[in-house]
Amino acid sequence: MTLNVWQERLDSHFAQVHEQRRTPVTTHSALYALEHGLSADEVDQLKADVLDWVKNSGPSRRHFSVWAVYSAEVGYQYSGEEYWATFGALTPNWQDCNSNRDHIRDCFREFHRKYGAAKPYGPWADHFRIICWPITHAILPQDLQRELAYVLYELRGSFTPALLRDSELLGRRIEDASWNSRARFRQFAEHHLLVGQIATALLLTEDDKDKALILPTTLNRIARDLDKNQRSREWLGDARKRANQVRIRGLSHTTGESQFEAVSATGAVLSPRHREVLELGIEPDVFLERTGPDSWSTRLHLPSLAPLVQRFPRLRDVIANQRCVVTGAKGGPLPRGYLLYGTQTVTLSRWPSSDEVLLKFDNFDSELAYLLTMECLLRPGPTWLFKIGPDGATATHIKTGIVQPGTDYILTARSGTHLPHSTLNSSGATVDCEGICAIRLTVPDVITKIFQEQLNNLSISTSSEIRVAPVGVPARNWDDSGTAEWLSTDTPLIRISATFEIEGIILNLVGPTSNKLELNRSTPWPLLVNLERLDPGVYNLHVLVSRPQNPAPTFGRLQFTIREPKRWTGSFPTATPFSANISPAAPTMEDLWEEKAAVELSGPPDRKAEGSLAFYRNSKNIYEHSFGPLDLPCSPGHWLEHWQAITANKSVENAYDASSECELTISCEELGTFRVRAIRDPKPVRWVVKQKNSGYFLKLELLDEQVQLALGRYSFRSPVEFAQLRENAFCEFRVSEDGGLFAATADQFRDAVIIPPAIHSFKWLAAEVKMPQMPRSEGSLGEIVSALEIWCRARAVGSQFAVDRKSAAIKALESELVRLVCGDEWLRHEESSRNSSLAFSDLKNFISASLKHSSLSRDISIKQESLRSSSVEELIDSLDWLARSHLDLPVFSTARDHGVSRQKWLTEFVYRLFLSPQHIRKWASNDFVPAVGYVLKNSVLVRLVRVVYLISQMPQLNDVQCKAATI
Amino acid sequence: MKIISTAEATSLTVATLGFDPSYADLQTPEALAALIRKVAACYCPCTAESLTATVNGLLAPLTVTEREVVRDAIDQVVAYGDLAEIRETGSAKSLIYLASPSFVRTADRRFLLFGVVPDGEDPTPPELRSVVEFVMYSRRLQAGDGDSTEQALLEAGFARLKPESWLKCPPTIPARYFVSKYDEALLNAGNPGTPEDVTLIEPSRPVQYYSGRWAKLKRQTGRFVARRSQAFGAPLWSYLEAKEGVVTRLLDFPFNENHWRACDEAWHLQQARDSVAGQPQRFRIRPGVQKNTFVMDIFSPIPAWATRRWESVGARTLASSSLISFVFPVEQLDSECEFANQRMWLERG
Repeated sequence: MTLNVWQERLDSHFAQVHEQRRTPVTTHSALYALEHGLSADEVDQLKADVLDWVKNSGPSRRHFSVWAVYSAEVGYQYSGEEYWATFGALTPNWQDCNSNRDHIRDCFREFHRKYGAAKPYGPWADHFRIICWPITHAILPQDLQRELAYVLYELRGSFTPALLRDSELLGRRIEDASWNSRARFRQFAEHHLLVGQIATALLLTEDDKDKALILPTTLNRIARDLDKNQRSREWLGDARKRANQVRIRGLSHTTGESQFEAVSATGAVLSPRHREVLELGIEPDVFLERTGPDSWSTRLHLPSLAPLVQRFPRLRDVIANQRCVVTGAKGGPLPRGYLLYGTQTVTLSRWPSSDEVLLKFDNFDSELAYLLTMECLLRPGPTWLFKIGPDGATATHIKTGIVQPGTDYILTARSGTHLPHSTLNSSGATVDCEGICAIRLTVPDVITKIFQEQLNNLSISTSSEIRVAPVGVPARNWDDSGTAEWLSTDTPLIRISATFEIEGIILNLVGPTSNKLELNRSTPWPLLVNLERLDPGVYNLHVLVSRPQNPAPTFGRLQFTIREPKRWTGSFPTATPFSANISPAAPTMEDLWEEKAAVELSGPPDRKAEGSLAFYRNSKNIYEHSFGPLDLPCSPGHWLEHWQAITANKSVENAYDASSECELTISCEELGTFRVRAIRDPKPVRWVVKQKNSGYFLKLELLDEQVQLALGRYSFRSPVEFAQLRENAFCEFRVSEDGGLFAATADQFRDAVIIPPAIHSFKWLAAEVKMPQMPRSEGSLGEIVSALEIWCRARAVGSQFAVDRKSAAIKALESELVRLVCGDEWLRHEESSRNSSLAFSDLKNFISASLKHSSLSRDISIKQESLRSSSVEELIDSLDWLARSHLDLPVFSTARDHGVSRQKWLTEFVYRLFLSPQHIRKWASNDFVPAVGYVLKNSVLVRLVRVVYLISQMPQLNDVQCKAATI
Repeated sequence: MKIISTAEATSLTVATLGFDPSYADLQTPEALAALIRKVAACYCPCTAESLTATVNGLLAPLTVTEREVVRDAIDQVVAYGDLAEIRETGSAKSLIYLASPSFVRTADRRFLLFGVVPDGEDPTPPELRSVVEFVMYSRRLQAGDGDSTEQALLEAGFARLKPESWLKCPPTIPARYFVSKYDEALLNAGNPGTPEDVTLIEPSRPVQYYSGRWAKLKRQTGRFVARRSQAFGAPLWSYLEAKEGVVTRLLDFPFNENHWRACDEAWHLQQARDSVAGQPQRFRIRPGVQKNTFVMDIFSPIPAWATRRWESVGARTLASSSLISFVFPVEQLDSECEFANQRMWLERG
C-alpha cells in the first residue's frame, strides 16, 4: 500500500474518532497516534511501507498521519533515553539529521492541529522538544507499563468511587504515589489527565470498556502487553479487584462515600483529616529495651513515611531530600530519604516534651509540620506505661494506660513525684534517658481495692472484666489493651471473655462497614466472633455487657485498623537480619556515580554480602560487574571505599557512559537482597567518556533537538577561567593530558565532566589550584557562585585524581567565597583554626571588633551545643535571634516585600550561601543580586552566620556519609 | 460479624493458613508451621520466647498445644530456613528474623522454597502456588519445567541460593579431635561466675531418649553440654566443667561453628562426646510406606545443616517412636547412612 493510501485511511479513522470525542464537548477529548485502530498485521505492513518509502525519499508532510503513527509505534517500543537511536535502528536508510527530526515534530503539530491530538506539556516536554511528541503519542510505552501497574497496586487501598470517577484526580494521585519510581515514569505521571484516563481504563471491567476514554482496541493492546509480565498482571489484577469492590460499594451509597464517625484511642471524635492520617499508621512507637537486670534503654520505632508521601505527594521533596532530626535521639540527623524504607529504630537519650514533634526536617514545611503534629508526638503524660514482654527483653508502650492482672510493667514519668514511693509491688528501675525516671510495677493476679486506688492515682486503670484477644489468625498489631490492626486479606477472629455472669451483650461495629449483634444469655460464653473480611479503614468495636441484677452495663472498646497488605517487591529487605539504606531514596545514576548516594548495610558480622552492578542501554543489559564479598555491617564510609574501587574499574566506567540505566544489587543469600535501579537524569545534552589506549576520549551527544551550544574547558589550576573548546565535540576526540572540566551549555541545560590529568611524576599528584584574588564586588561573587555551580555538578570520571582535582577546585572556590564575604583577615583566622594554631572557640571573637558586639561571643558559646544538633530551620531561628539581639542591621527589602520576615530570609540566604553555594542562585531566584549586594556591605552578619555554620558542621566533619553528600 | 463455634473458628483458621480443614487441624505440623510463619511475618524481629507466647495465645482457645511443641516447631521452621535466628552483636540475646524468599534447586525439576515476607502474603508466583507441596516444615516445588520455574521464581523476587552454600557443613573430623578442640577451649575459659538454673545432658543416660537425658545440675562432676538461664531471654547453650555440682569452667555456644545456631553446635558436640564415650547416638532404618523408599529414625536432635541436607535429598516425615524421621529414596541409603556416620558419628542401630 502506498503512503498516500495509508494517509487517506488514517485520516478517515482519526477524523471519525475526533468527531466522536468532540460530541459531547468534554475536556477529555485528546486523541493519540497510537489509537490508529490498526491490527498487529496492519501495523507491520505500515512499517514495511514506511521503510520502502525511506529507501527512495525523505519524509513528506503530506503523510503526517502515517509518520505520527510510525513514530508513536517506535515510541511504544522504546525505553531509556535514546529515542533517535531506536528510531534509526528500526528505520534503515533514515537520515538522522536536524531537518528530518524537525519533520517528525511538524507531522505531530499538524496531527494536533487537524484532529485535536494530544499536545505534550510539562518540564520534560520543555527539555525534549521533539521526542516528547512520539513518546506522548505512544500513550504508555512498554517500559513504563509495569510501573503503572505497581503504582495502581500501591494505591488500591485509597480507591474511592469519587477517585475512580475522576481521571484528573486519579492522575494526580498516581503522580503522588510515583515518588519512588524512575524519573521517566515520574515525567509521564505529570500528565495527570492522560495517566488518569489510562489508569481508569485499565481498572475497568470488560463490560465497561466501551466507556473508556481511549479507543478500546488500543486499551486492549496496552492491557494485553501489561498482562504479558507476570508481576504486572498480578498487581493490576489486585488493583482491579479492589476497584471493582469500591465501585460496587460506591453504587450502594447515594453520597458515594461512606460516612461514619471515628474516634481516637482516647475517645475523641476524629476530624476527617485526622482520620486520614491515623489510617496511614505513622505514629512512632516508643518501647524499652532491657540492658541489665533493672535497667532499660528507650527506643523509638520510626514508621515509614512512604504512606504519607503517597497520600500527600507534595511532601515528597521534603521527606525524600531533606535530612531529618529525631527529637531527643542520639547522633546526628538521619540521612535524606531514610524514613522511606520501612521502620527504623533510634535510641532516645532525652525524653521529648509532649508538644515536641518527634521528626524535624531541615526545611520547615507548614503542611508537613501540621500533619506530623497529629501523629508524630509522644502521647501526653504524666506517666507512660510499658508492658514487659514474655521474654523480658523488651517492654511495649501501652497507650491506653490499662494494666492487666498478673503482668509486669515499667512505669515512667517526667519526675519522681508522679511515681509512687511506697506502692506495693513496685521496685526500682532505671531508664537510660534524660528527663524521665521509672519504676517496675508488678500487678498481682488479684487486685486489691488499695492497689486499684494507687493505680488510679497514677492515671492507670485496670482492664475491664471483659477481655478481647485475637484467635487463630494473628493481628498485624495487637497491644493487648484496646488497639489492633489487621490486613484486608485476613478474616479477623476474636475471643471475648468476661469474669462475671452475663445477662446480654451488644457488639456494635462502627467503621466503613458497620454491623451490630445483640445476644442474650443463652449464647455460649466465651464468645468467638468472626469479624469477617472488612474494607480498609478505622473501626471501633463497642462491647456493651449487661449483668444480672446490675442496671449499669459494662463497656469495652476495641479500636482497630484494617489496611491493605504491603506488597513485597524483593528489592528491599524488611524484617530480615540483612538490611540496607540508601540516601537519597530514589537515586539517579549520577547520584550513585558521584557518591552523593550514601549506602549503609547492616547484617550479622559473621556473614558477608555480595553485589553486582548491571548497566542497561535501551533495556538491554550491556555489562555486569560483580563485587564483594563485603563485610557486614558496612558503614557509609566503608561502602564509599568499595564503591570507589568499583567505579575505578575501566570497564565499569565505560559501561556507565554507554548506559542509560543501572541496577545495583547487594545480596546476603537467604538473609535478604537489596536492589536499587537508577536511571540517568534525562538531559538532552550529554558528554560520553571512553577510556581506551591509555587515554580519555570525549564525545557530545544531543539526544533531541540540535541546539546551539557553548563548549568550553576549565583548567584545574584556575577553576574560574573558561576557554573555548577547539575540537569538534560531536566526533570523538582525545582529551589532552592535562585534563580539565569540559562543559557544554545550551539555554537551559548544562553537562560537565572532569577528566583527570595523566600522572607522569609525583609532582603531578598534588592538586594545585592558583586562585586569583578577585575584587570584592557583586560581579566577583556572582562569578564564584557560577563556577561553583559548574564544578559541584560536574561528574568526575576516570580515577581518584579527577575527584581530588574536583575537591581541590571546589575548596579553592569556597575559600575565595569566604574571603570575599567575610574578609581577608577572617579567612586567615579560619585557616589558623583549621591548622590548630588558633582554637576554634576563639574564632567567634573575630566576628566583630566593636565593643557593642562583645556579648555576641558569649551567647554563641551558650548555644553552641544545641546548634550542633539543630535542623536548618532551628539554626535559622537561632541566627535570626542572635542577629536581632546583637546587631543593628540596616533593613533588607526588595521591591516586592519588606519587613522582619525579609531580614530572616536574608539570614537564611547567608547560611545557604555557605551550606550549598551551588544552589543559592536558584534558591534566591530574583533576589540573588540584591542579597549579594547586602551581604557584601554587612560582613559582621556574614561572619556571625559563618561561625554558626561551622559549628553546625562540626559533628559531621568525620562523617563520611555527609562528606559524600557534599562533594 | 457473626458468632462462631470453636470448631468453626479452627476450620476457618486452618483454611486461612491454606489447608483443607477436612484433612488438617491446628496440630498438623504443616498448619502449625504455616501459623508460625504468619505470626513471624507480623512480629519479627522478636525473641523466640515472644513468638512462642504469641502462637500459643492464638491456639489456646482452639486446641490444646503444649508450649514445648510450639517452641520445637519454631526451631524446626528456623532449621529449615524460613526464619533466621541471629545473635545480637555484643549480646547473648538472639532474635528471630524473617528469611528473605529464596530457593534451592535440589534436582533438575525440584526446588525447596524458603522465606517469609513482612505482611505474610505468599510471594510464590500464582501459577506455581498449586504445585507447591507442604511437607512437615518444608515447602517443595516439583516443576514441569525446571528452567522456566527457576526464571519465574527469580522474577518474583526470590533469591537463588547456591546448593553448596545452603548445604554447607562443618568439616569431617574424627569425634575425639572434635571433642578435644572444645576441651582445650574449656581449659582456657575464664572465670565462669555463678551460672544459675543449669540443666545438662547426662552422658550416662540412654541416648535413645533425648528428653530423659536432661537433668538439673546437682552434685555432678565432669564435662557436660548444658543450658543455663540468663537474666532475660532464652537460656544459653554452654559447654561446662563441674566439680561436685559447682561450675568451674564454662564456654558459651556458638564457639567454633558461628555460621549456625548455638543449639546446632551444642548438639553436634554431644554427638561427638557420645561417640567418644562409646555410647554413640543411633539411627534406625526401616522401609518407607511408598515403594523404593526407606525411613531413617533419629532419637536426638540434629544440627540445622543436617536437617537441610536431608530435606534436600529426602523429606521430613512423622516420627514414629523416635524424635525425628526422614524418608529417602532407597538409592540414597548408603550415602545418607555414611553422612550420618561421618558428620555426626551416629551409628545404625
